[in-house]
Order: sequence, then C-alpha cells, then structure tokens
Amino acid sequence: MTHSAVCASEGARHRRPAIAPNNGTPWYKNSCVTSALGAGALSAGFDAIGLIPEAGGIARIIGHGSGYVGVVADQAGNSVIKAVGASTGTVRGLNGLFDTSPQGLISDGLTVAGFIPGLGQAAAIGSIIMDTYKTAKAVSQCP
Amino acid sequence: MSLASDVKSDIKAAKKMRLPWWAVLCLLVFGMPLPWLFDHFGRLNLMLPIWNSVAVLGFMLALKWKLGRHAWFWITMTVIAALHVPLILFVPWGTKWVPALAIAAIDSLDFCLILWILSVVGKFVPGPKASEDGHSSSGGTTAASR
Repeated sequence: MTHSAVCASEGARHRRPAIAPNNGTPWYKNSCVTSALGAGALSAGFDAIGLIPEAGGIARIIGHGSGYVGVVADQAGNSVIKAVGASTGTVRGLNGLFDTSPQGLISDGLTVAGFIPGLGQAAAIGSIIMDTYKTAKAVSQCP
Repeated sequence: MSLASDVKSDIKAAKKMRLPWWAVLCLLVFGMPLPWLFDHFGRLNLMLPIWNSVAVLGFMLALKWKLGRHAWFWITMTVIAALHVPLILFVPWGTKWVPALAIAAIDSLDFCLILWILSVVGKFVPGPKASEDGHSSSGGTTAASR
C-alpha cells in the first residue's frame, strides 16, 4: 500500500465518527435523544400548569366538562377549584396568616401560592426556560 | 386598619393580578438566552433564584406602585432587595428540577414576608399609610389578561 493510500485510509477512519456519529440512526430512534426530550417535555408540561390562569383557563375547561359554556362555565369551574382548595386546607391557612412559627410561615407561603396566580405564572415561565435549556443541552450531548 | 387586615387586603389585590399573554410571551422569548448566559459563567444554579427574586420584587412594585412617591418605600425595598443578594449567593442552589408550583410556594412565602415588612414599616412612618394607597394599582397593566 502506498503512503498516500495509508494516509487516506487513516483519515477516513478518524473522520468516520464525525461524519456518522450515530451510525445514521434518525434522532427519533436515538434513545438518548428521545429520553432527553421526553424528560424535558414532562418537566416543562408540569411547569406549564402555573401558566394557566384561573379564570377562563382551567376553570373553563372544568366548566365545559360539566356541560356549561362561557362565563357560566368559568363560574362552575371556579366553584370546583375553590371547593378543592377548601378541602385541602387553604382557607384555614389564610386565617392563620400571622402564625410566626416556621411551620406556620411555610404553611402561609403554601397557602398564598394557591391564591396569587401572577407569581405562579412568573415561576412557571422561569422553569420552562430552564427546562428548555437543560433539554437542549442534554440532546446536544447525545452521541 | 390592623396589620393583619392590611396584609389580607393586599393579598386580595394580588390575587387579581395576572401577567397578560403578551408579557408571558415576551418573558419567554427574552428570557431564553438567560440560562445560556448563566451557564457560560458556570452559575446555571443561580438562574432560577435570581429570576424568582426579581419576579417577587417586581410583583411587589406593581402591587404597591402608588407608594412610589414615599422615600421610606424605596428605602425598604432597597434593603429587602439587598437582603436577597446573600440569600441567592450563599444558599447552595442546585440545578435539579423542582416543580414550578413548589417554587411559586417559596416565592409566595417571600412575597408574604415582604408585604408584612412593608406594612410594619408603613405603620411606623408618619404620613399616608400603606393601606390607604398601597394596592389600588392592582387593576393596572398586569391585570389585563383576565
């Protein structure tokens, strides 16, 4: 074998991983990519719940499920949300707003979280951005 | 009005505040480069604490915007913002996924504490009280999406 042939063969061997890093497997068949995308979609999906405003959003969906439309659906949905909130003790938490014990303060914080949609929206946006970045980074590190 | 009533009425006003859809979109678009920037400096773990601290303080400013003409309000907010700096820098934050609802709960605790501090300071400062002109701005720009 000539020197140039040997060099060409060596070059081809070194270049091969760069040309075909995943042996031609499409991305949707690459388990690393799909698992990274799946995990990212799951976490972003959970985080996106905070983006849904109470009125006209999840409330309307619940109201539609009960057979109502428009504002009536919002009201019906809100009633369900409030009933669920009350059953989990959120109203009780509001009454004890100035409990200064650590448990009381944590309870107050958790209580208020359910009542201030704006903060939930802001936290959701930040988390979705972070999820997107981490997913993109994980995918880029896949073979 | 008692301290508890002040804070309760502020929370009631805060409940009505929403980010309009265009603000959500703008934050999503313009916030996208932020993790890359933090990661570039090797501090990706600080992105969410900083984001959420700014959100809480911004939300508080929007709620109490009419107190902006009082020097005590800005001094208190500056002190509160300064107190957040060591909280962000010295707590060992991780990059592991935490549900946004849990983060919102921590934000709400922070929000509740700041409201309480502002109410206490407002009580000791002579002149118009926090409860008299503090939360009438809640129907402003941030309530547009309802």
